[in-house]
Amino acid sequence: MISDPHESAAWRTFGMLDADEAAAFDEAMRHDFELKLAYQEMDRLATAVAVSVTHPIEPEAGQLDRLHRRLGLYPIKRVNWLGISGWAAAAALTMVLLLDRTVVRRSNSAALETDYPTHVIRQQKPVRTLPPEPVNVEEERDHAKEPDEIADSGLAAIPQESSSKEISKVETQRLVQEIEVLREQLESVLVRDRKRFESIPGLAWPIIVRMTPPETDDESSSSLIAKQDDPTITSMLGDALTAATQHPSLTDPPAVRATVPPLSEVEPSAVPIYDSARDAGTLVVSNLPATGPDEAYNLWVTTKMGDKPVYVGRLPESNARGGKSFDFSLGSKATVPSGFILTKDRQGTPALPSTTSTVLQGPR
Amino acid sequence: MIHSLSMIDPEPAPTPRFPAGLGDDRSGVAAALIVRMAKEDGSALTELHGLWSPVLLGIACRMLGDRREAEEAVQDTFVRMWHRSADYDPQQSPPFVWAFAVMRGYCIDRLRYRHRSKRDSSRVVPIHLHAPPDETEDPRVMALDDWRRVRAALDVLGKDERQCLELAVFLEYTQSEISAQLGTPLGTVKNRLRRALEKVRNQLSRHDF
Repeated sequence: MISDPHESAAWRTFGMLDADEAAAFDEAMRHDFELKLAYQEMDRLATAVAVSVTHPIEPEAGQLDRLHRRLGLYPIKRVNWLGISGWAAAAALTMVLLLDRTVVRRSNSAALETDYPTHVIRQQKPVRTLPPEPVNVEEERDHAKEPDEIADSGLAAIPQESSSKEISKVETQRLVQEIEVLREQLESVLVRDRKRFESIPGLAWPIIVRMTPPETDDESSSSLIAKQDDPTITSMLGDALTAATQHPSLTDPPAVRATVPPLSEVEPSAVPIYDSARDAGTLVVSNLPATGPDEAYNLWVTTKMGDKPVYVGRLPESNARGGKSFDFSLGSKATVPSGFILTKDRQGTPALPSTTSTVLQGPR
Repeated sequence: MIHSLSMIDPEPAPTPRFPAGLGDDRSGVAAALIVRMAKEDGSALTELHGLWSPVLLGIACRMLGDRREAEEAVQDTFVRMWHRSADYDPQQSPPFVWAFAVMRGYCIDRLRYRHRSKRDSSRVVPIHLHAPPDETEDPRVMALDDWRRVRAALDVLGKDERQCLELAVFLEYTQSEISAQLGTPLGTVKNRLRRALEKVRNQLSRHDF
């Protein structure tokens, strides 16, 4: 029975031979050059066909690093010359400033420690006080640069004690100025943080939002929460923590435990907890009705900047009616959500939230 | 003993001349990188990974039907290539054909390990069988005229023939499974596959590479 070697090679290439058949083929290929050639040609053909009909897919981030680790290779880090040059320039500037100040001090001390001629010192008057106005730094530098001139002028008679006071005054003035500048900077940071952390009704930091059905009377739920007399965040977590708070606890007053209604049984709710500093969030949902076979829940965020809600993602399918949590991220730490919306849509690309599709939203 | 294999159809078929040079690395870039890899140059591996990993991942996704497993297959392919680079002979096969063969071996092992039970690539990975050429043609993987000629060769196939060939190339099914998948008798599948191969080889043989 004679067969086309290309056909045999094709079945081998396509993985259609079982292990024994493949081993037999490989053994035959060692002795049959034509078969080997056919196999190589079929390899080329299969490769060409596979490449031609395949859409490339970018590997996940970190795959190359993982590969390097597996092989014990450590890639050479690329030098960020731009960043380094910036730091180098800053360091050089700092050095120049420091050296400049050092020179000033040395010059000052040199001026003070000048070995004046004895007769000049003898001719000094007992005490000569300086005028009270602050001394200019530039003047100080000028003095330091020209000790000979100082010695020759009338100022040469300034006693060392007065010079020390003068220097300390200049230093004090400089420090006061620096403190003022730092205070201004601190104030601006405080103002910025105050704006960033300003309280928004229904929000806490990290952002914790209570999402309720659109038709829910917010006052009733608020009063309900108020009756519970729980801490604020616990109140906001609401349904997510209901199960925990319903457990008998020694710290809970009996009356409160008795009056806590089974809120989670009444209506669906959700509590997204989002930390924008880490761009990490968790959505805790309770009592969401099960979706249909071609339906899905989608999470959206609203921001102060944008007029349209931003799509976050689709909740994985779950048949659990109780509480369940999902992790999410917004893809940017700069995005600070002002609200969250949960919609129920048909599978596929979800449309923007509407009154009909919105299941939960918050804050109200 | 090869001739006793049950899958080989006894009918003799004309043997068209196979086009020499199909898939050759005409720029020599990839071959040079493999030579550098043989000298344990990690930067060559990095470059080769950048050149080939997207295409290899696309193929692996289709072969295995699982993104995570496909990523693993590509990883393992590069590890194997790194270790075998010293033995690579460009006379035996072009660089990417070699890489493809290495990965295919891994994928066949994986498929045998799980008895071909979980494959359903269409469910897991978006497959673009007919992506626009300008999106996929990459001269670093295969010469541009090779891309065009292979596509032209595939275009002469009938829909069923092309389907059979693609299912076989991507290790998606055995002949029996293809038969069951397409609802076609096994003999017909064999004939279609054989005819598809002949047509493609004939078509490719008409061009000088």
